[in-house]
Amino acid sequence: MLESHSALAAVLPASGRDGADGRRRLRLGEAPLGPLVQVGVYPGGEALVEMAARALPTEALPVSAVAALRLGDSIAFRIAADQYWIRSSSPSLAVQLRALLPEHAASVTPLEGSRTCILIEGPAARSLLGRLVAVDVDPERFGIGHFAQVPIHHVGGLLYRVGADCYEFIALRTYAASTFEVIEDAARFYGYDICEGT
Amino acid sequence: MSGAVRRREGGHIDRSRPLSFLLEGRRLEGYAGDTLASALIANNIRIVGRSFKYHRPRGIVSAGVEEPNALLTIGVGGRRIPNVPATTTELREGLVCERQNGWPSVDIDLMSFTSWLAPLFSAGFYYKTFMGPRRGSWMFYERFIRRAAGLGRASHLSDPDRYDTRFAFTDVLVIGAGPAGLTAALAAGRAGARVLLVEQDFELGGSLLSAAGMGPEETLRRALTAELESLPRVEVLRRTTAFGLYDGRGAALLERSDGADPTTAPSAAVETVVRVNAGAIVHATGAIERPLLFAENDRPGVMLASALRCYLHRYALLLGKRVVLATNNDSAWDTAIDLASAGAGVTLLDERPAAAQGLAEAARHAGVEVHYSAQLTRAQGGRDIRAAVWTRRGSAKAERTPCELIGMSGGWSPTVHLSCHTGVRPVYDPALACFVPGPFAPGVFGAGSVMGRHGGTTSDGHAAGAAAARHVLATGSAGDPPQLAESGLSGSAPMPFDRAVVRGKVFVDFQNDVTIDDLALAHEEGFESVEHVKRFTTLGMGTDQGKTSHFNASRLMAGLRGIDAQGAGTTTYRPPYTPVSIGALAGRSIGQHFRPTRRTPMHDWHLANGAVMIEAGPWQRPWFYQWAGQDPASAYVKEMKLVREGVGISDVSSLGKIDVQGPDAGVFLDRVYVNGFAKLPVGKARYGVMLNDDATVLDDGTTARFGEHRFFLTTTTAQASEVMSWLEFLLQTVWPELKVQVVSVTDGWAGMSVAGPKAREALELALPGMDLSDATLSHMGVRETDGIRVLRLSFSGELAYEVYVPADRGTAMWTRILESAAPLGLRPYGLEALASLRIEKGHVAGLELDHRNTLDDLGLGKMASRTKAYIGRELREREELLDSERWSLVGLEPIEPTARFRGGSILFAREDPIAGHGRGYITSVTWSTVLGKFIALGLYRGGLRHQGEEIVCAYPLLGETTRARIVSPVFIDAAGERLRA
Repeated sequence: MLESHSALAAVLPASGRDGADGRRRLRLGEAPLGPLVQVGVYPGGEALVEMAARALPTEALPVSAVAALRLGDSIAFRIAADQYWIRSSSPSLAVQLRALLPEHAASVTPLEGSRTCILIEGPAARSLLGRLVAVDVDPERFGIGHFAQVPIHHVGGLLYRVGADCYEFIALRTYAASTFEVIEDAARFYGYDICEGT
Repeated sequence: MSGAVRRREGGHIDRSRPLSFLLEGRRLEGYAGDTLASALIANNIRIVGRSFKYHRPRGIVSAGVEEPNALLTIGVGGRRIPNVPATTTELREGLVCERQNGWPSVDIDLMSFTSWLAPLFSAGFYYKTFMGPRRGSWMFYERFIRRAAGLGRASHLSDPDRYDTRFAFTDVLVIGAGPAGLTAALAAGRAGARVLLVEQDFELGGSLLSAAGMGPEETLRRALTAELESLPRVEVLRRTTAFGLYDGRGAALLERSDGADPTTAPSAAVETVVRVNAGAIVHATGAIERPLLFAENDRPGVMLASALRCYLHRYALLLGKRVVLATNNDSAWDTAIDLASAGAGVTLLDERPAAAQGLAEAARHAGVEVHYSAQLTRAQGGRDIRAAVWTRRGSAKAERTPCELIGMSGGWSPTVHLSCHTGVRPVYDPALACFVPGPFAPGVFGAGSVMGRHGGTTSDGHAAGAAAARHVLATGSAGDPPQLAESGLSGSAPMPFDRAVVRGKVFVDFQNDVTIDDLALAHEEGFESVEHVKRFTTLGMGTDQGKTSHFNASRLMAGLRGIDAQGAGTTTYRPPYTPVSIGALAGRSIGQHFRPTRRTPMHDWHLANGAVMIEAGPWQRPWFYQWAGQDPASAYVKEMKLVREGVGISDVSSLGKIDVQGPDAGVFLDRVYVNGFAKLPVGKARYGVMLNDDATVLDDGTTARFGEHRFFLTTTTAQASEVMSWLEFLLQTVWPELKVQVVSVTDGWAGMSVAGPKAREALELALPGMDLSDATLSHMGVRETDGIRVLRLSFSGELAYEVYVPADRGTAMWTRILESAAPLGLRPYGLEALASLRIEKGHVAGLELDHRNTLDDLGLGKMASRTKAYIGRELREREELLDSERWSLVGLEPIEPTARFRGGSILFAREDPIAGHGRGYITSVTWSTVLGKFIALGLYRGGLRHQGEEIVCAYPLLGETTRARIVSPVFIDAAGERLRA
């Protein structure tokens, strides 16, 4: 079995640092992404996919392009009119989906190898995000479970609000180290601890 | 001359917090709440700089952002900033500053002799003088002029401070925290909107700060401020300038720090650019007072009347004991009354025949000497004012009033700049004699004096704020507007300018030394458009952007042209409203964060194992490895030899990789590639080329079929994004009916090429469970087992395999292969060797695929199908693309074996003169380990029809020529025996 190597291995600091006021108001780190699969629906395949969706880990596919559909530890995002991301703890997610979705109705592409999940958590999370993304993260506008496909430092990713002060940014793997460095640089003002997400 | 006096009481300064600062090494004192300008005035520094062209002594003119003269250099070392207006610089303890543009000093400036040469330096003199005695003489004079030009000098040291950027979203953005802005923000906040109130000053209040003592204005200011700061959804940003407005109610702000020592809080930014997205915008930017036009109106001691009042009430400074005020409107009367009440002897010259009864009585009661129909014609004095010379209308007799200070008020110009940023031209209001904002877009409102209204600003602001909140929320109550009795000031009544009455030097633009004679000259030379006049005279082109000069210039030009001011118009106001530092615009995107970088999955291993990295677009890739040498020029040769004679491994993870799935995937690829893919068997790969619409080559790559409906498409590193975008475009707009999905998986796979005669042995050691025999995995075959993909294909011309594993396992697989095959001498090789090996084999790459060349140009014409349709097929048939004299791919060998080629060399036939564009050029060069000499690929007119001919390769930059022979571009193994081993 080949060992896994994190894209952030070389850039994740060993420890946190205090902010400008001596406090640490953030927690940064790499959150476990788990299996992630992109489902693409072919023209004319919508009805078949919708029927098959009842057997999905989320029991349906989301309609909204801003709010994820969550069931247990499975999450589905609608990232385009005909494309979805499905995230789950099941290690054979791609295989399950290929079995579930008719081959002539939808494509299934494993993506977890191509993404890195960066955790941003803490009372200063929204303020930090205000320095990084052109998205209104006011809690009344960007609720728990909401997501946005948005770049950080010119590189696109998916920002997902996990909890009250907890966000994940799913970044392209080859850009992840660079993206984390930008996040860390912006976070210095607030101070941060390094941790793993839940 | 009495000089300025700091009053013992009053003002918005904090006398319990004295501050000291250095002016050219001299320690001076001020208070918290002072600006640098007020502190300089308090210390009787009357000359604050020398003018741009004529080096005339200049004093402070205003109290705000419109200041044209008091530009100082602040800070030292890497923190040194030139041309900073003293009027908007908050005084801080230890501030270091110096005045500008005087040599050896501003007080005694030897360069002031240029004043005597003024007739030579009129507008446009650059275009008429310094042109001889010969052609090109300007370039001789230019360096002297450049040395003499400019005001401050920037530092060349690195700026140690931190700058930042952030985004902000709000329902209502209110720009300006004067009475109109404060009430607008409060109305919107009370209605429940998210409000962002921005104020460029460090204090809120605007004109309220210029009112006397603890009167109703100060009471209102404090009440408004307190309530605003209590509302949780209202954010107030002081020291923040809105410097640009953009479509869709976007705004750019420059937020300055509150002065915390940057050395103690290095992560805190000194400036932050804030990009705002607003649901509605309220312009409450106020108005700027205009100077009057009279002779010597630029002398130190001539100031805007409102500035005198501001310094008196906000900074507790009485600037002189004997003051003459000249005006054409009501506002200067308040100044006259307040100065007189403070103990100054005041003479008020009003150009109008009468003023409002209440003002006249108040002025008389205060002891102001008033003269109506009186026009100020000259300021007498040099470094100080001695007297004001004036005439009564209809009289030729010049009156003279001794004084040490002249205040002027030529009316008020609404600060319309931001409202124009989205293309709305301001409109001239003849009743108000000013330009007001043009029609606002939905969701944009204006309040207060920016709309030309100088009275009722609080109710005006309240109405605008409420309307803005309604625009966004549709509900919510703004409450009752605050009440403030404001004087109903009239508009100004500027007199026509009469050169016969006003003789001498009359400045229109103080900062750029532009006079009325310059404007007249521009008109005489045929420059009628205000935009042309601006560029010809440089009026409005200084850091103040003509805030005090534009209206007067428009009026003068209108007079010269015999049209009204609307006809003369204004120049186009563009961002930034006030200068923004480059550092703020860059924010955190500097140094290693200048742009994003891309790292392959094996990046950390490369760094730890002697790779010297190089940038390839955003990618960091191993250029060469130090096991092969320290110098790239020799290391790559050793790495090439390794591959040709043994086995090497190279990181090819940066190649674009696209997952193509669907029942119509084969059909889709058939349309995109020039050759066929629909019938490609599962388990096989094929090299393909795709064209642009115009039949030039877009990209090449290898596509493998892993299932009936699944393809794995690879692209070049450089074109990966473009190809992906192209495929998405085709599926979304051209063939939306095709049942195909494409997904970029470039990031998801680590790729490594194992190449060389021992490549199979090496991989068999690393992957013992996989059958890699030639029978099972022939050339262009593919295999997928347990998530590992192996493609047998070659870029180098040797037996080679590309191994792909999920990206997070890349390092593990890489090290496994290296360790397993170490006994075979396997070592890594870098990009330089990778790119050179393919030259020996005649493979085209990025240097040839430059979007200008066709399939036939690159010798790939035979690949194209003759039966199926594909993108670019029709335009391939264009006459000019079929011309046999087009350049096409050739190989080149030097005639002298030890000669070297240079990439980019221009190719000439032996008999051609070495001049011009030649017949082609060298695209790629490498040392050939097989042939023991330099070889090259190139594009040559007529291509291989000239095989065997001797040509000349010219490199004009170094004056070199090299004789070469045209050969086949495939230098080694033309039969392909090595890669089919």
